[in-house]
Amino acid sequence: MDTDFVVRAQRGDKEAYAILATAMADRFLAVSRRILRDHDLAEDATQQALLSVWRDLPQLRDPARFEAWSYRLLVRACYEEGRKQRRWAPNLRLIPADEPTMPDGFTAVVDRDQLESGFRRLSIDHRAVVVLHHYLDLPLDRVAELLGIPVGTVYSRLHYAMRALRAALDADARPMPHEVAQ
Amino acid sequence: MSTERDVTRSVRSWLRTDEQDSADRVLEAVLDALDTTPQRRRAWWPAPRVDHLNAVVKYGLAAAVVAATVLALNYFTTPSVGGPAIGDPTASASAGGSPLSIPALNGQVPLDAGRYQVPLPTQVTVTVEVPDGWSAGGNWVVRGPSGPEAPDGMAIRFYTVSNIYKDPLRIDEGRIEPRVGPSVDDLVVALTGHPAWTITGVDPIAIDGFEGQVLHVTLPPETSDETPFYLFAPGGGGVVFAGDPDQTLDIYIVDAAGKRLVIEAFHFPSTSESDLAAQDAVLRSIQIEPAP
Repeated sequence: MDTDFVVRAQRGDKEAYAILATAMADRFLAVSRRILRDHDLAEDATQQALLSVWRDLPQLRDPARFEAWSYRLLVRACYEEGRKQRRWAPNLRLIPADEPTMPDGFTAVVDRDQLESGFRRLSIDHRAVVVLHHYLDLPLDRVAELLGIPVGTVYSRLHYAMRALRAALDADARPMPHEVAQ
Repeated sequence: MSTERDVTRSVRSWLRTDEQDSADRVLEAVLDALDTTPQRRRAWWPAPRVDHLNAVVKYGLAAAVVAATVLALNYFTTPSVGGPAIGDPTASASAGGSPLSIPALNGQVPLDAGRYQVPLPTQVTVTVEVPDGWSAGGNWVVRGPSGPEAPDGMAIRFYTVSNIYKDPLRIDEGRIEPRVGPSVDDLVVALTGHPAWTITGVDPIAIDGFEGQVLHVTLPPETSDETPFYLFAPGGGGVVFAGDPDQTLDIYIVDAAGKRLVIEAFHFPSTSESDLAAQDAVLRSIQIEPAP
């Protein structure tokens, strides 16, 4: 991310921020959609995050840390939207999510269903770590920096989430409710 | 038993199966909102410090603030030259908007009364007339005034179906094989012959002149939020499901010039007559335009 645009946007330059937002929006939506498993909530989270970035940008002390800082706001927005999801959850959840336009030759249809089911049992905390690490390819220390939590916590959340997803894939070894509720 | 490496590969592959995220609509809304979203400024100089400054510096600072404010106001109120005007809907629309004049349902909560286009993962254009007070919940759903939840909510969902599940209450058992065929009859036969589905009636229908069948469906008593009834694996990915055993669904399956479209209207025992009438009016307003 060009720090010149960040500095200009910090000073209130809307055109500079439009360039930053345009560069971020698709990726923000992709990340939030994968965390929330709901396109509508993901759009709301992305919108809230982009507006929060604009609103709070003057308070960012180091423009070089803009990207990590902005992702932190995105994850925060996902938490907020996740709470809404729980309110709407009982009767309506339609998730236009991942379906390959072409077979990828590896992930079977049944695996995707099981992963979807297993992933949705995870908390937003666990989902965020999985998405940031396995989708954005961020190393664990960067994930920790971005979420503002210790690296050890990131590691344990990732370990727990992957264990739960592994159990979802292995139909005979599904996690007990008390395990996924931790 | 999956190995750790298998799981990692599966998760990474699954997370990457759909890279077509377009945030054009969100971006447009954000840029439009900048004018009404003030930035939170950092306090560059703590207030007490000003007390120690002499009068000349105070007046100088005050003048600088006034000058900066005037410059900022001038900057934001003067049309930009040589680039798109930020917050100009025309500029945004030309960059990424729909070629149709009918707005899409996405991200418009609540909706103004009017006609909207339903985004669908198929080359069929579906539009729907929505009264004031309704809302959109995503790509394929509009909600009545009480929302979609029990005891008195209702909603209409639009989607396509790629397959159904072996056991709708246990998604982990996977989808039926061979997968459901592409026609209306294929899906109707699959659902009526499925032991887990309770279908109380099947009637011929026509929506905007396109013929099909409507299935009246009730859910098994063990349906709950924790054990939802997975209705369909929709085209475009994800899952469609319901989580309340008192939920009643009318599933309209329509042949739109060779493309199978599913429109689902659901409600609960306490949904009011007026809301049901409004739901029926929305269903009757549906217009379908198959791809040329």
